[in-house]
Amino acid sequence: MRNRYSEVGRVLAVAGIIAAAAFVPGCDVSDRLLKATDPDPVNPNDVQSADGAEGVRIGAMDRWKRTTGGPYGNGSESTWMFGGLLVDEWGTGSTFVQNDQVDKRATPADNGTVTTAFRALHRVRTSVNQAIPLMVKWRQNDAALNTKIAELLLARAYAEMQLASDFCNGIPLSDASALDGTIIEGDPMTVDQVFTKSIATADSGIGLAIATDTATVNVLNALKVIKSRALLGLNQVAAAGALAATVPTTFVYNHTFSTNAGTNSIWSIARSNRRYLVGDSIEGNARNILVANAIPFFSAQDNRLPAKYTIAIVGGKPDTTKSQDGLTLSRTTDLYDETTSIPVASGIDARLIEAEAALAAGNVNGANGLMPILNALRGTARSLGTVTTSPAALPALADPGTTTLRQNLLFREWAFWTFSRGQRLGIMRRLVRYYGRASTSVYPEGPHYRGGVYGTDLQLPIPADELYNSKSKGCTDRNA
Amino acid sequence: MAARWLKPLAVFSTIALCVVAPRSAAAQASIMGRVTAQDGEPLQQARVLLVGTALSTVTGQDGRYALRNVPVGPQTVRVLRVGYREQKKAATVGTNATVGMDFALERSVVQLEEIVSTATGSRPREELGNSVASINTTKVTEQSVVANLQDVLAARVPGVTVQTGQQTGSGGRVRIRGNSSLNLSNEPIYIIDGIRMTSQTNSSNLFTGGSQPVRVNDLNPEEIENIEIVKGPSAATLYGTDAANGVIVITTKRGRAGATRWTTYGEGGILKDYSDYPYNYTIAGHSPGLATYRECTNSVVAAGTCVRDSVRIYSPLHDPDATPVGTGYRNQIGVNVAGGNEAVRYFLSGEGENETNVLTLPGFERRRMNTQGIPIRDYNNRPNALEKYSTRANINTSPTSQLDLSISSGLVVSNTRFVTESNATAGLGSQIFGGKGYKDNGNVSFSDGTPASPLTGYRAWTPGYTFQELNQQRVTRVITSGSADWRPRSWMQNRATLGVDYTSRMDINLNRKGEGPPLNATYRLGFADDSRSAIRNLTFDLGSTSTWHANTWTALRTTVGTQYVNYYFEANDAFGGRLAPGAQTPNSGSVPSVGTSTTLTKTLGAFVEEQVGMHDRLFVTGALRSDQNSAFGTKFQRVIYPKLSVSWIASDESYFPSLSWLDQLRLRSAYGKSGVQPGSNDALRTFSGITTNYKGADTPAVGYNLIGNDLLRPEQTSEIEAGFDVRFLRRANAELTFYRKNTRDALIDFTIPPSAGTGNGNQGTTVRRNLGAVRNTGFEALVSSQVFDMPAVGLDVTVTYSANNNKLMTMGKDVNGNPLPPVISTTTRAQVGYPLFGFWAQPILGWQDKDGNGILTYNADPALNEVFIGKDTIYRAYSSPRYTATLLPGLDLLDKTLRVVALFEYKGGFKYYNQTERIRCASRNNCNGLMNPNASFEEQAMAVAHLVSPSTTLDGFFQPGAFVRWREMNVTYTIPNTFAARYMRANRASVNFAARNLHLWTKYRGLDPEIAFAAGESPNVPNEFQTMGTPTYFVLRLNLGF
Repeated sequence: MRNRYSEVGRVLAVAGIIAAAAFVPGCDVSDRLLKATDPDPVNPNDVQSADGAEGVRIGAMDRWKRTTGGPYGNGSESTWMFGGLLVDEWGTGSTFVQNDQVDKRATPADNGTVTTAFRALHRVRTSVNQAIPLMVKWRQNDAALNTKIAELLLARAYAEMQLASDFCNGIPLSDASALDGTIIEGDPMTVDQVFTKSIATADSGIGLAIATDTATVNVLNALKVIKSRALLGLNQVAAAGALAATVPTTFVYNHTFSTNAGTNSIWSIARSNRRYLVGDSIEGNARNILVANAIPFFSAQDNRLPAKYTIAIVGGKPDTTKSQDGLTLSRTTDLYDETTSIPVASGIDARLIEAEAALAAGNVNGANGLMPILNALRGTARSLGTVTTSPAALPALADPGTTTLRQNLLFREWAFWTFSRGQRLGIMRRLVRYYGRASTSVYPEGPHYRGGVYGTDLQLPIPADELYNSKSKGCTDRNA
Repeated sequence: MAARWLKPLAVFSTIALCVVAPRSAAAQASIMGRVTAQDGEPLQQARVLLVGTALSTVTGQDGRYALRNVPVGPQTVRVLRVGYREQKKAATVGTNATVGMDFALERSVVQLEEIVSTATGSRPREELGNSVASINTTKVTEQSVVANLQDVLAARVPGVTVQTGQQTGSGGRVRIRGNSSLNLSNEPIYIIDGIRMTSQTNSSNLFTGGSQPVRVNDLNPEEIENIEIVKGPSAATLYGTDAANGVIVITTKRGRAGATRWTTYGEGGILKDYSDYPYNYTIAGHSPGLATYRECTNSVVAAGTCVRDSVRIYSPLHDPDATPVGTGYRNQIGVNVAGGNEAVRYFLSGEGENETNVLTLPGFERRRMNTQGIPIRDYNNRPNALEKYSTRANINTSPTSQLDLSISSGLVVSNTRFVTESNATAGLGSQIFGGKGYKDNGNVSFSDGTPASPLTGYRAWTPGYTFQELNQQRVTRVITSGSADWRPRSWMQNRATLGVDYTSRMDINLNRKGEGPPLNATYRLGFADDSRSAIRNLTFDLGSTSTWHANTWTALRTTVGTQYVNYYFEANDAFGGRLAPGAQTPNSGSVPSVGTSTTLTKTLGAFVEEQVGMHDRLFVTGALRSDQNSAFGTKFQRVIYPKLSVSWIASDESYFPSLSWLDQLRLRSAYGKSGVQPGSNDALRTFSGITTNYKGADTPAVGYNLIGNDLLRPEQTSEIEAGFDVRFLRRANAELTFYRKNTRDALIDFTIPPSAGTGNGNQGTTVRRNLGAVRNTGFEALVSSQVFDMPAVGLDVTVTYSANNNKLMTMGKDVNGNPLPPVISTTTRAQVGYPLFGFWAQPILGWQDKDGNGILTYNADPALNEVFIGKDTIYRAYSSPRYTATLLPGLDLLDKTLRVVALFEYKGGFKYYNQTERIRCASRNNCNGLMNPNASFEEQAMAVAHLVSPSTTLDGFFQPGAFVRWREMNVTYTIPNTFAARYMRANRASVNFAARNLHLWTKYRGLDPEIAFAAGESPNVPNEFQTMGTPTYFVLRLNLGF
């Protein structure tokens, strides 16, 4: 018995030693057996090079594009689309309840698409904040370094400006750019503070965009337009106008697309997938439900926004193509094709800003006054997406005669010149905030064609997920 | 590629084998004999064990056995056999002696597997402190309609809930003792013949709208001898990391020594869909003062802004010419042969199976396509079908009396195609449940010049277009393992198992140019997606067990072992959009894209287990296992899992009262811990490569992706269970088990505040952190009884019941130590104090038809409002069944040649989300509550509450889910041997008629509270969403033996 027990003990002892050896940290056998190298991800060390820095920079540009008219996947619309849904640019033709909520101006904080849009804008900030130090560290020999950094700052200034334009007060600007995974939680900021932040960022970019080559000048002009829009957000209309006045009307800063690397989402989501309807003041198919305050983007058949029903005649019977929901008559626009570039900032934007400043200054018909600016825009063929506007189709406008009507005219013109480019919601908020308009006279009101009535949202909410930021309190103020 | 893992494995193997190398051999004695029933009938497959040693064997066809290398001295032999009472005999064995020992076993009405598989080898059930459920798969497959392995598991074991898929070839989800994890898989793991089996759910790259294959259903149930279900960490500790959700241990069939036995079988049957599909409703009317036709809702009519002229009611599903529901077919034919001698035994099998689902091209579509000259291919005509072939070769050999070697090898080749169906705009459900209340609802609209065709009551397009899209999966899978069982001493048993489960998967999604639904501007330009995956699961398992009789009443059993599991998944995907005419491959697509993905996880574990058996009736077992895993964070090295269990056959004690009705009472309790590993890349901080168009040029770029967590460790679940097994009245058996399962370090997808701007696409928006704690408590009961047993007739009944209580204990804290907020989604919340995945909503408190017009409306003015909704969002119900019960009566007639068995299953304690009706009300405008003035107030209230009230509450669509389903009905007739021999040249024959899913009793308002559009994705909140019904199977089967 004793011998047997001893033998058991010997075997167990050897087994124990071997097992222990296998489990000692750093043991070669253990390490080799457990080594698992996944080729899919890019290691953070791999961006520590000149090429790596450039890759991160282009990556930041890609992030930016996804907040404008960039590639779209289900539930990943930018605020250009969702902001347009909240106001009168778009109506929902989809089956997604998230879209219904925004279109009805009753968006809960857990709306997943709003969360995605909010996060997308912050991703621009984070990737820019990662790219700039990498560029500075690794690309000192890059002749275009300053321009590239200025362009990165342009992207960040845009993101900050768009956040302030589209979301309620209480916007944190957290920082997760450190490559060690650290997250510094941001304090809730008012939209004014975020606009101010955007202006500071744009100023930094302007300070770097000092070269005179075409690319740098293009970036500089874009920075000026974005800064001007931020100034408008702070009601610094005169300053905005003065800055915008230095931007030529022919200027355009585009985001570009291709079939292989991401298509124009205004085309893909609205025209190809028919999930959005060009907005109108009459909704509900044949039910003719009046949408109060809405610009009839569809019915207007404005030269700047070609919009149509797709109607097939079958056996003499008209049959209108339905939206993705299979019920709502589809109203699409050919403004953008699949790969049509889309202006993020343009000379047209600058002129409109200048026009607002002129109106605010009381210059209606004088040189560089409201009406001359608006009519100059209409009076020249201009490129808007696939469209080249026709001056004949856009005859000169007459001065409506009163301040209120002039404001209405300005912002209606603005709406058509910048359709679905993320500006309409900011304008509506400013109409309430700075122009003294009642929200009920600005935003869509009345019965909604999906049932119920329009709610009271004036902007998009801070997403519920932001409550995981221990400093966030969600929306601190839902006023415009 | 192979060399990468072979080299370390070779090193590992060499070291390991050194451990168990023989020291010496000594001549010892033998015990031989025969095991029979009391009537002298030889009993094969009886387990013969030498008590207190590692020696055991199984009787051959003639009932004979031989135990060799028996130590000299007093020995006890125990014989166990299903359906017979255990028997022990003692004898003193002399040096080099051969002792004869025959056994005549008394038949028992209790049918229990007495030997169960454990991580340390086969063990008598009575030694285990935990409950282990066994399924005799051979019996199930011979007598029931089982299309796949999950059908075998469904409704047979208390505490195990299976929600099967609806489409042919689709999989379901399995839960054992509730949900433990908020964000990781709650699926059990699978072990087959000693190796880890790939059991991926959602295993395809196809977008079908929900129906997905699961890899466990690749297995052919006909090849399986037995399935044992290890329910929780109290028993699964030694299976290591990933076993916290339970382990399903599969043993394939083996050859037995004796004459060669051929078995062949064939079955054929039909599938029908008897679901009570909803009608579509449309109120036809006109505005007051206008004659123009318009469509209204109940609310609009009640408001007086529309005058109702009629209510139009229609559904293609109720129109024989328009319905895509037809008759499905199922065929299966197989043969196996088993036999051998004591030296070599074999089991060889082969089977072919095909099943065609009920979905078929409707008559009106067939005519249209014929008229338009559109080809009707097989997959257009029958879009959901499966074809599968499987073979298996299991060889066992005993080159010496001390060594057993076995090789198990199975090959499966399958080809399955699925319909795009539920959660997909392109899918069938979106169209068939979404149409108008009339058939003449316009045409399918095209903008590409395609001739329009009538919608025939469908929403936006008809099945002919949906069925033109092919979703096909081809699988070739080999599961092979070899094991050695070496007993150099009577007290020592060493085992080694090496095996690999390799799956080659090819997913094809094809929509030819000019075909398919007009979903968007590019869909009908065609696309082809070809995704090829290789999935490999390699297991190396090594163990050594020594036994020692410390004295006459104490037996020690020591096991040490180590295990290595290496999982590898790699996939390449080629996509081509905008195909050339006639093209079927991505090559011709003018918009190509490619993708690859890789997943690797590796686990290295070691364990030691010590069991002390006293008087062969009290067994105490303690064990420790340590695991390292490639997915753990770099700052976390290993996890330790302990285990302790006690089993006591109290009734064997001399002082136990002698009760005439009590045959045996066993008390048992077990404690153990196990884990679930994080995702393979969860710990890593990564960027990802992307391509973007920058200033007009496609340009490579890099985007920040995951922030990672280098402190990541496995989710750990500890469980304590206690219960008893009692056998009484010589004809009944009862088991009762209570459990309490605590999951700590629960891996929670901690939401990164969006303002941090992390991630890429859907990735990187969360980071896995070990934060939460979840508790599951419950009990399981089983009573099985032979109610009466006479020579000509008999009746047996088995009843099971289980209950589960699930609660989220904590969500963890943020960096400032404050509790994290609940995770809120549209329908559920993860909130401390409530069950995981429970439904939450603002409740519908009631309704009152104040104006007496029969129509409920919402009004902001409380005086006029008719639907009352609670202000706060509150917890409403579990989203999965809490309570399950089964009733399994079996009746033997005609001298027991005819056996009739029925299986009824109850699930309750939950609500089920009727999302089909939700979208019909919210988007399709055709639901009963919205459009039918004769709808019940309850149905009207749920539509009004969701659509009109500001709450938009979904409460009304969370509907009582309790149901009783007549799951199976089987009639088996054993053909007299004389008849079989004379007319079939067979020595045994039986014919079986079986039906599955015969009837459903429920108050649920949807189609079926068990259909889940994405069951194969193993969702934590399954729901019905534009999902077709569960088919009923009727199958006739003939079994012949030669």
